[in-house]
Amino acid sequence: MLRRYIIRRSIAALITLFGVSVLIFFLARVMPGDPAMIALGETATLEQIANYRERLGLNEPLLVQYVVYITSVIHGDLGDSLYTHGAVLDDLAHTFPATLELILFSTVLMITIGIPLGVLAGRFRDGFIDNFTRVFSLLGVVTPSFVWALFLMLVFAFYLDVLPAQGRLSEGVEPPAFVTGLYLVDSIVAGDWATFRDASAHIVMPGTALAMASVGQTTRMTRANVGESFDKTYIEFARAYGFKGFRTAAVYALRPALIPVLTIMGLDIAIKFGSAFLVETVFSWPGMARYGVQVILFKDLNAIVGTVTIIGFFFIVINLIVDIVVSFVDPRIRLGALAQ
Amino acid sequence: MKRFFALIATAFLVASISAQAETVLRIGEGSIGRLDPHEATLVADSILMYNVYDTLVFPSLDGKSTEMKPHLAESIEVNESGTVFTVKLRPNVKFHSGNTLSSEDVKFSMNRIIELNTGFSYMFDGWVKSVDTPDPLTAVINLTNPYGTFYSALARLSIIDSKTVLAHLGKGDFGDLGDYGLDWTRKNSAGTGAYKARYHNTQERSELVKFDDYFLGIPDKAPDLVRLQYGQTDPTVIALFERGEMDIARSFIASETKKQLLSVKGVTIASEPGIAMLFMKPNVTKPPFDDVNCRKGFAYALDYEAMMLQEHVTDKIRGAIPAKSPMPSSHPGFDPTMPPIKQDMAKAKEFMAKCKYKPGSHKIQITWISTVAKEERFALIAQVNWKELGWESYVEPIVWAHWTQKVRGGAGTAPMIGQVYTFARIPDADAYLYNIFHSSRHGQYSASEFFADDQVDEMLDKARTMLPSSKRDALYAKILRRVQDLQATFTGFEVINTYPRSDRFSWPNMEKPNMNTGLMGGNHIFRLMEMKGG
Repeated sequence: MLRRYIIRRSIAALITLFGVSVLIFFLARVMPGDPAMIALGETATLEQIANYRERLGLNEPLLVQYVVYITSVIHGDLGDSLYTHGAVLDDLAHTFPATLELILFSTVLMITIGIPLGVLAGRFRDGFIDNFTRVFSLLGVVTPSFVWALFLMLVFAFYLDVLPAQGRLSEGVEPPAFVTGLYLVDSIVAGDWATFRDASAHIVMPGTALAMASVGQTTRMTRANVGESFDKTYIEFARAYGFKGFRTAAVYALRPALIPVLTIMGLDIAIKFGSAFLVETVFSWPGMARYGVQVILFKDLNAIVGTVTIIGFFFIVINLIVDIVVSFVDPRIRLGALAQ
Repeated sequence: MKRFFALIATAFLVASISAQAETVLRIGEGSIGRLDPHEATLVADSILMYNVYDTLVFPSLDGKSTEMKPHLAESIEVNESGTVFTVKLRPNVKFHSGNTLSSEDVKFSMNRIIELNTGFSYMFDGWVKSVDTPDPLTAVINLTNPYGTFYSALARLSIIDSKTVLAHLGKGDFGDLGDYGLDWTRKNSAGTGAYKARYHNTQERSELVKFDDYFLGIPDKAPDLVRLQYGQTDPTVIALFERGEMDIARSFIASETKKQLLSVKGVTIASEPGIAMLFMKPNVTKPPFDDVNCRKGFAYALDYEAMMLQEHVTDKIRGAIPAKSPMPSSHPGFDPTMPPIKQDMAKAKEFMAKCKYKPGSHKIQITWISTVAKEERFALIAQVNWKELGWESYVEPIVWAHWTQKVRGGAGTAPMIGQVYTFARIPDADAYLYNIFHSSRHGQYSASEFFADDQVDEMLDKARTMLPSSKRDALYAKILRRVQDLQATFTGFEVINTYPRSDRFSWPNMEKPNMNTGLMGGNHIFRLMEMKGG
C-alpha cells in the first residue's frame, strides 16, 4: 500500500520537475541581457558577439533550443557555463555537496534544538523555560541569517579566534576521498578524524547561522502545537492513566503536534537552498547557492537551468520524504490519499 | 651516546629548516579564477595568466615600464608596412610538461585564441591572416592590415604547450581539435610560467607552486606556494587579516573596509595607478545630452572631488586622482599638459546658458549598476550637482545584464547616463579609446555614449595602423583633445587600485613606480616578490 503511495507521488514529482525545467528554460531566455555579450566582455566586437551567439545556438527559435538542450540533458550533458567556462554538471557536482552538507548540518540543529525546546516550552508554558525559549526563538526568526553569520564570525573568528573564518577545510588539509562529497561523512567513512575535526570546525559557524531562523520557527511551532495538545482530552486521559510528564509530552502530545511542524520543516529545508547564498558568501563557502546567484547575474543560461532544476529536484524530494514521514505519523493522511 | 644526540639534533634542525622552507603567499579574490589563459577576462584570470603562462612580449620592468619588450621572444622584427612580425624565440624554454617551446606553439596558441573566440581573442581576430613557422625558433605572423596595437597586444597572447594540449583533447565543437583541450586546460597548467597549478577549482581556490625550470630562474625568496582564494567578501577579509591568514586582498573591497584594515598590525595599502578609469557615460543621442554645450555644462558641474572621496582610503592613501582625459595616464599617447578635469560651476552655468534645452524640459535618468554600491553615491552626487543648475534627475539601479541589453538595443534604448569602470587590458591608446569613441563600436557597452564624429573616427582608424612612435602618440593626444572638446563622455577620475596587504613580503611591482606594468593583473608577478620569513 505504501509502495503504491510512493510510486504515485514519485510520478507526480517527475511531472512537476519536467514542468520546472521547461519554465526556467524559457524564463532564463526572456530575462534581460545578452549572455554572449556579457560573457565576452566590454571590448568584444559586435561581430564576435554575433559569432558567439551563433555558436551558443541563441539565434535558433526557442523551441529548437529547448529540443537541443533536452537532448543533451538526456545524454547527461547540461552544457557549459558561460561564467566559469566549465561544464555545468562539473560545477554542480562540486558545489551541490557543499551546500547540501551545510543544509543537512543546519537541519540537524533545527531538529535537535528546535523540537526539544518547543516541547519543553509547551509543557511548561509561561514558566522560565518558556519565556527564555520565546525570546530565543523570536531572535532566531527575526534576525536574518547573514546577520547571524557576521555576528558569529566577529565573536568566534575575530575576537576569540577559535573557529576558522572561511572555506570547508584549513590550508593544507586535503579533502577526504570522495564518497558523498560531504566532508563530514566522507572523513568518517575514511576514518580520517583529523579531517573530520577540521571540517566540523569549519561548518559550525555557517551551519549555525543558517539554522537560527529555522530553529526559532520550529521551536515556536512545536511550542504552540504541543501547548494545544495539552488542552486535548486524550492528554487528560493519559494523565488519568498515571503516565509521567515526560512520556505524556514526548509521546502523546508531541506526535499530533509534529504534523504541521514536519510540513513546515520540509519547506524550510528546501528554501534553505536559496537562502544559503548570503551565509555562503560571508564564509566563502563554495556552495551551489552562491553559484546560483552569480550565474543569474551573469545570465549564464545553462547554469541557471541546471541550478534551478537541481534545487527543484531537491525541493520535490524533501517534500516527498516529508509526506511519507507525515503519513507514518498520521496514518489517516496516507489512507485518505490512497482512498482517493 | 653523543653521536646519537648529535644525530637527533641534526634531524630536528633539518626538519625545522625544511618546515620553514615552504613560504606561502595568500591572496583573496572576490570573483572566480579561470585558468585557461585564452578564456581570461577577469582580474583573477589575468593574475593566473601572467604567473602560469608567458607571453611573447611583456612590459619592461626596468625603466619606462609600460613599454613592451621581448619576453618569450628574443627579438621581434616588423616589416616597413607593419604587416609582418618576425618573432625569434628564446631557445631552450621549457613548458611545465618538460616540452621545449617552439614556433609551432606560437602558431597553435594564436589559432586557438582566435578560434575559441573568447577572452582576449578580439585583439587578434580579423587582424591575423596566418602564422608561418620556417624553423622551430622562428614564427612569422602575417597581418591582414597594419595594426599598431599588435605589438602590445602580444602581451595578451599566452603561449600554450601545443603537444600537451593535443594530447588532452576532449569532445567539442572544433572538428578534429574537439574541445581544443579546454576541459583539461581549465584545471591544469600548460604554460612556461614561473608557477604551475598544483590545484585549481574555478570557484574555490588555486594553488600554484614554483616551476623549477623557469627560463628566467626564480629567486629563492619568491613564495614557494601561492594560494588564491575566490569569492571572498569584506567581513571574511577583515577576519583573515586579523588572524594573519591573508597577504593580499582584492582592490574591489569597500574603502571603509580598507580603512579598518589599516588598524590591523602589519597591514598597509599597495597602490596601482594607471589601470582603470571611471566614466559616467551620457547617451549623446538623447536630449539634453545631444547638445555639446549642455554636455559641457553638466560635466563642469560634477563634483569630482566628492566622487574621488568615495575611493580614498585615508587622506594620504588616495584611491583616485583627477583625470586629464578619458585615458589612463600610464598609456602612451597620454598628454600630461592637458588640464585636470575639475568642477567649475561658473563655467557650467556659462555653457548651460548656451544649451538649447532649458531645465525642466527633460528629466535626467542616472543609472547605476546594482552590484556596485559605490556607483549609487556617484549618481547621487551628480543628482545634487545638476540640481544646482536647475535640472531634475532620478537615480535608478539597474542589473548589469539589463544595462548591457539596453545598450545593445541601440541609442534609443540605452539609458541617459550609465556608469562603467573601464580597465586597461594592455597599455595602449588604441585598445582603450577605439572601443569607446569609434562609431563602429556602438552597441558595445564600452561605447554606450553612442558618440559619433567623423574626424575622431578617421583619426582613430589612422592611428591604429601606425606602428608605436612619437607620431602615433601625438595623434592620440590630438584625439584626446578632440573628444574632450566635444565632451564625448564624462570622465569621472583615474582609479588608483588599492590593495590591502601584509608586511610578510615585498612587492616590487607596487613599491617601485617604474615597475608598474600598466596591465590588468600584470602587477601580481609572484616570482618578483620576496617573502620575509618562514
